[in-house]
Amino acid sequence: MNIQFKITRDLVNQVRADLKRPHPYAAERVGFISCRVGALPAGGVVVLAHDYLPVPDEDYIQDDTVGAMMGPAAIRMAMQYAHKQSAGMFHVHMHDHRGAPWFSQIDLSEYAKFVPDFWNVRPEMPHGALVLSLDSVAGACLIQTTRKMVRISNITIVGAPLLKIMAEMHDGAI
Amino acid sequence: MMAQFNRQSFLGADSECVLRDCRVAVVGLGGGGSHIVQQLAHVGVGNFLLFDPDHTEDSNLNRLVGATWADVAEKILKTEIARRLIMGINPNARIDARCDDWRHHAQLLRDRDVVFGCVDTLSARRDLEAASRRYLIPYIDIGMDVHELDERYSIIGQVALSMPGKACMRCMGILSEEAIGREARNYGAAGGKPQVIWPNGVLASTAVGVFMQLVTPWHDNHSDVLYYEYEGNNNFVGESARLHHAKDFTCRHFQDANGLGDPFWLTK
Amino acid sequence: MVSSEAMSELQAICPGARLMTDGGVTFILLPGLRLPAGCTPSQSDGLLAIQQRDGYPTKLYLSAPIQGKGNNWNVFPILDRTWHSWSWKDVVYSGRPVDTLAQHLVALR
Repeated sequence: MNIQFKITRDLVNQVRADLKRPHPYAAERVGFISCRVGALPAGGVVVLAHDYLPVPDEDYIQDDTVGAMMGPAAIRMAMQYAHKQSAGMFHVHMHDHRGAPWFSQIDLSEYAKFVPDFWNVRPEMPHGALVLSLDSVAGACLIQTTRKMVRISNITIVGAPLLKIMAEMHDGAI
Repeated sequence: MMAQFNRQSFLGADSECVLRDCRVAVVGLGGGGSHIVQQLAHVGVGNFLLFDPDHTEDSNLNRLVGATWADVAEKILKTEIARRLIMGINPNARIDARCDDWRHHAQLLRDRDVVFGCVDTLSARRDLEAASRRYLIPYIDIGMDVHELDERYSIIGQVALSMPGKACMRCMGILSEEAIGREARNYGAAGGKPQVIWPNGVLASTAVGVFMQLVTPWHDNHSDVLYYEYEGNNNFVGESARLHHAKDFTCRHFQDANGLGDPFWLTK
Repeated sequence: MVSSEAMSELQAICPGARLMTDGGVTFILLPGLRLPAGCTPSQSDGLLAIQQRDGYPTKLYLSAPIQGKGNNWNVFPILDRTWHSWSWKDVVYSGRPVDTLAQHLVALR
């Protein structure tokens, strides 16, 4: 499936600024990007990022086995937002390297657990995850019909300059 | 890199691919749009969506790039002039050319990377900008006019970059519902507006330069709010004074989340 | 701009009527609006602009033009859809959208 993602440069910078902040006990930070969606003329969808919800410090669980573990309050906050704002929600975190990022196996197994919960509140909207590196971004969207995560085909950072990042694999399957 | 792009290698090692994969829309293929289409083809843009409902007339020949007397005689569509122009320069380009008012096919804009507006009316500009903003697409607008002043004439024009999240054309003072209302009331009374090729060329070239710096930047001076005014009598293009106020605006016209994507998605 | 009482009054004749904004302009969406007798189609989605728009103080747009009614139909992209409207007199917004709507529908009788 052709899934495109667009986000303004200002919003990416806002996300990066938050994710870079040190946390009292978590090794990294996470957040959610809220989105709207439209159908593409030749099939597929374009996901349009609108806002960023940082996870408050107190909503992380102390867990030394992973970089960051959200507590139930964080997911509840995101689900309430999705319902109230009719939004698609994309979990986001950042890797501290340059070049094309991708999710770890732990990331993917965690997404399989909580991303489908968003369908309980907004089944019509796409939900998924993004991962940033220091200079790039990649993402995946959970498809309701197949319950599989599909790689986002391309992500455009809208601003000056305009940056369109194509997925490395175009078949989409993960 | 293909030999035809050797002279633009300063745009970056990946510029050829970026331009080839770039999906642009050009709405209006008259004096301004035909120039833009030609230049985009020359630099290697590979995917075009084109709109113009008209065919070529003799009064177009003073400015319609690519048009000939034979085209006038055969009433060739402006979309076909543009297609022929592009294919002659870049035969690998993908072209979707619609001989129709774009407003009947606005959904086709959704997958574009950049939209160029080369239209005649303020209302068309307003609608194109709104359609572009809804899908987070940078919109580049050009327009020219000839004003009569004491039996002499003044040529003016503008190029504006409307970037999602930044000042829009209303913030910049280019559009207002009052001005659109005045235009609607005067519609039909004005007759054919004066249009000539050299201001169109200046404005089209400026617009393409804005586009190139967006997609294949060659310097570090990035601006995501641009409003250039053209004073044809002095052959001068410069930043509009109105930009000083608009540059740091948080646009209040397009900030609502309901202004993004399909507002009826949930009711499908 | 629209009181809850005025909105309820409108929803009594057009259930599902709700406010929407596009480009900073407020519209009232009128799903399945029943049109005056003799109109084909007899029902249409409508969009009522209650602010100045396209040269009019208020304006009614429909999801399809009505054959044989109204003059100078034109096409307008609003809210990611294509809408149709006709030339009509100035109808100033009274604060009661049901009243403003009725004055626009007179053109389709």
